[in-house]
Amino acid sequence: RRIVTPIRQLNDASLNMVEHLEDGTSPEIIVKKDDEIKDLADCFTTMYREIGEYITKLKTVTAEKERIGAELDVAAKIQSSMLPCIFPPFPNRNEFDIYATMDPAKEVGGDFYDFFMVDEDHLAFVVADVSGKGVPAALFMVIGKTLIKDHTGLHSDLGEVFTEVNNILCASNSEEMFITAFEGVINLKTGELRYVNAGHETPFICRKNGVYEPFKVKSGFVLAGMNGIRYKSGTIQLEPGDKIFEYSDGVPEATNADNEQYGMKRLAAVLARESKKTPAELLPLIKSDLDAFVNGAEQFDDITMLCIQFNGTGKSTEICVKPDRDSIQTVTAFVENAMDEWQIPMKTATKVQIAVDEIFSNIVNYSGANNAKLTVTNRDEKLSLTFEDDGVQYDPTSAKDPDITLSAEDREIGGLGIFMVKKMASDVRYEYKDGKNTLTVETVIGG
Amino acid sequence: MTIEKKIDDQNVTLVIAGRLDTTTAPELEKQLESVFDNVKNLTFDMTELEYISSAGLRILLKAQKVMNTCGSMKLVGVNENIMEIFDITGFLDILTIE
Repeated sequence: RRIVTPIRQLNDASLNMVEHLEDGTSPEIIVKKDDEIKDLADCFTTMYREIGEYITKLKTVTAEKERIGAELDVAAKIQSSMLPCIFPPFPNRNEFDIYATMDPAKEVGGDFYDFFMVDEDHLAFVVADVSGKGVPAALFMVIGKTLIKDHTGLHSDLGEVFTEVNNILCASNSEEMFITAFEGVINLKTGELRYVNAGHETPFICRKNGVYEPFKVKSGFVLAGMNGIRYKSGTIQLEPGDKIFEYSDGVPEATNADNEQYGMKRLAAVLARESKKTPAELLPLIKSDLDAFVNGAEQFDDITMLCIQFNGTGKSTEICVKPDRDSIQTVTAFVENAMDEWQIPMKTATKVQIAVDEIFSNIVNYSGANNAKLTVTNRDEKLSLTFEDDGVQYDPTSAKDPDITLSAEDREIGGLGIFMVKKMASDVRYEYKDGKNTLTVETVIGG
Repeated sequence: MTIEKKIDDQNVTLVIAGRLDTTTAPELEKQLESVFDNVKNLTFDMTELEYISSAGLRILLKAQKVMNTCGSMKLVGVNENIMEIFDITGFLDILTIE
């Protein structure tokens, strides 16, 4: 009995171990005599205690890991929200089209792109890659991006911008990190592109009706690499219809399962093949070509691409009116004059006149606006109408399309006007900003 | 826009020239009101019509609804641009075009 009782107790204790560990109690094992059974019982109790401690530790570590994981997720979101990601970013700027993407390899990455208006007439864009990955690269990226943006515009010479940014970065770079970066600033009135390169990839330029070709630019040393370096800027003249494509090394260095790189040849080939595409069409095409090559192999580096098409200012004319009943005729006559003067073919002029009638009469009847402005632009074989009014916020592009299959008796006429405009135009964009509705309607001339 | 009215007993032809848009549509509506009472066959002659916007379509739809109850309505001389608008808006299905 002395032997059997403790063994039975040990037996129970083993069976109920998980329960005990969860509620933190110890099993009761009573051994009276000091013999092998007692040794076994003591060992058992020790094991019990140690397993308990181990589990507690594991719990703490797991919780910590979860917390860090969650925080990294938030960090990744914050980081991606720092990159401008609403396209088109400036719906009422017709002088250029821009599109950019960044696919990070890890939760937080070191690549970034940026673009912003320096002033009314200058568009700046940046593509950059911070050495390393993960949190350190992401932190350095934020500093680099902020510094470049803040300094662009302070100096008319981009070389000076990078020279200053480099010195500031060098002053607080304990981890020996560096950034490769390309920055360009386009004068939207003249098409002059000024650029500076700090060890970044060679961009491609596609002339109107041509194909993408590498634009060999002289490169300075990487940013944050060495204090006191003087960067030199260069210039090139862009003509309406020209495009520029810049990217990070994650594109050519993407590897498939056989450890083969995508490479510059494939990138150049897809660019040449898709030279006619708009920036917004081009980048997804390159990405899918790249994805097809990589074929599901793990992505080791961030993949960043940016493309800009320069459209030029073209010919433009505008009229401001107080939107009342009589103003409709004024505006119609104004547009008719412009169509005549620019010798726009009848078919296109008709579409434009209908769009003006539909949109402007809506502004007059429903917006309650005190001021309305219409800008008509003739550029790159496209006519665009930009309507601006200070009335109630209303996005006509969000209106539900009318059912055009109903019988005459059941037909409603509401919504038909904007529906016609949407059908006839090649593009309709809406933006509400600073208390103003801006609607842009684009039509291909002769289309 | 100009509207010429040709009345032959209960056959009425409206010859519309110029533009049928927000500004001019009310005039056509007024002209129609005056003939609706005594018309069996209504014809719109659009040979000289340059374009039509939704304000004009509204008038045509209204006229078609009235004529569906008391007679017939047709359009003649519709040019290519206007035909495209009828097509886009599904008006080809409810109008009679010769």
